[in-house]
Amino acid sequence: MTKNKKRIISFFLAGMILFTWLAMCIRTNIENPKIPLERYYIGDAFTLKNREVVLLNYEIIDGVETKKLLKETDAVWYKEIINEYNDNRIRMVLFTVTIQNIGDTLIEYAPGILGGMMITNVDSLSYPYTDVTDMINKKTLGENWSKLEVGEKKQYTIAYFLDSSWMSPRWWESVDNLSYELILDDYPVEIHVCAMEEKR
Amino acid sequence: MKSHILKTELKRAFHGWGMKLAILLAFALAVAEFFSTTLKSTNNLYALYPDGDWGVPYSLWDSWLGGEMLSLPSYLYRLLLPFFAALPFSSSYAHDVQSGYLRQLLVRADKKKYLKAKLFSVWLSGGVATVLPMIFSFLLATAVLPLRGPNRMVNFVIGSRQLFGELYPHSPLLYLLCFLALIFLFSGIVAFVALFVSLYVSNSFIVLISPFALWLMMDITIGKFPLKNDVLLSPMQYLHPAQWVHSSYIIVIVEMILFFVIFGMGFYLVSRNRDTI
Repeated sequence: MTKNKKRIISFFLAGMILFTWLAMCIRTNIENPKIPLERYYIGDAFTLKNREVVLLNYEIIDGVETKKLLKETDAVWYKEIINEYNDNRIRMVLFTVTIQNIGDTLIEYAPGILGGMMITNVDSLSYPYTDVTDMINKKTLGENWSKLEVGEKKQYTIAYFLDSSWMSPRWWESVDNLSYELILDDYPVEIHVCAMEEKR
Repeated sequence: MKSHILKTELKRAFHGWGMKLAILLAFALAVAEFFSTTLKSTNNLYALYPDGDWGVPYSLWDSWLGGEMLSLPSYLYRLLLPFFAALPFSSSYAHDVQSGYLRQLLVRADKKKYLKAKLFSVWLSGGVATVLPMIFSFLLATAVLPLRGPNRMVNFVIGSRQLFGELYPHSPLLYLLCFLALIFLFSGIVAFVALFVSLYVSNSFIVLISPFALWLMMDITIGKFPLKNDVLLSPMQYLHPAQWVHSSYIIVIVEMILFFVIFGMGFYLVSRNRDTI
């Protein structure tokens, strides 16, 4: 086979591979469209799995207060944080939400739907700390805190923990002033709840 | 004459058996990753609770060779990265000496120019050989996974603590390009280890395996002792776009300079000052 023929066959094969790859890329992107995004802010009501949710407020608490909250839980794995972590290394973000049961059945664990991520503009930070969340809500709402009867509405606090080792020192310096966002999943929609009063 | 030597060296580097083997291995790794990880991820691209069951929604960004560090191909890539870097052209100096090619060349050209051209070709071919598996794997993944941003409903670990991490949430492609450039730069320099060893050892196998041995030794020793805030010194751990460990720009730059000075400059100076070939 001459060199010229080899070159033509190589170009032909490369072209075929490129064309197949492009066709597959286009097909994949048509078949799997982008997940629709719904964005809400403080005070906006949105529905999520038979619940109407409104984010009322959020608060970033310092290391001393965070340790106090962790101490109040029974979970043993917080001991290391309480005993060894510097106060300036940790924070907790508490989101206050109201959740109303708008379905027709009893909801057993109302805040469970807010199991999404808390993020900032530079990091994905954490899932809710259920021990702290449960402890706070039990204290304020009583024994049946997690249950929601049909039509019932309760105010919950959801706790997210922050550790400076998860962020660059530059961003940790402004941890108390960062904007936080919850990313929740209500397939086929993705919900972003911005912890800000006004739209950016 | 300089450009002629450089051109010849580059041609030898990119047309030799080493580069062909590197391309073949790169493609094999990418295909293995495609079947072991990428295809599985196509099952759930949307929800944490598909059909009521808990699941992890995957995306393109965590389902290819550079997106995760759990699969065997991904581990092999991190482990064999210096071998990939050395494979195309690092043993060529030993071959040039043994075959008499160098003696013939130095009659016609300047030794310094030859050494500089050799270093540049080894760096370039080593860099290309190490990013090829990543590029192949990413292209294969884009054929079956949609091009949209990283799925933020799952806790991906790349954030502001990681190298170029602030780019990832908003511009994952730019993040990827920066990281591939870093891998290219670093692994090209790692290939100098083999070049340096070839000054003293003529066996091609030992020459090619030497950067891998050093890589492994570094991981076993300094890799086991993280600095403050879990920052790791072992490039085998941090030189991967998934970055499940922490590192810092200073450590990366210092290690690159050390590799370059000890092995790159070392090769150049020792070889230049040698009277015999």
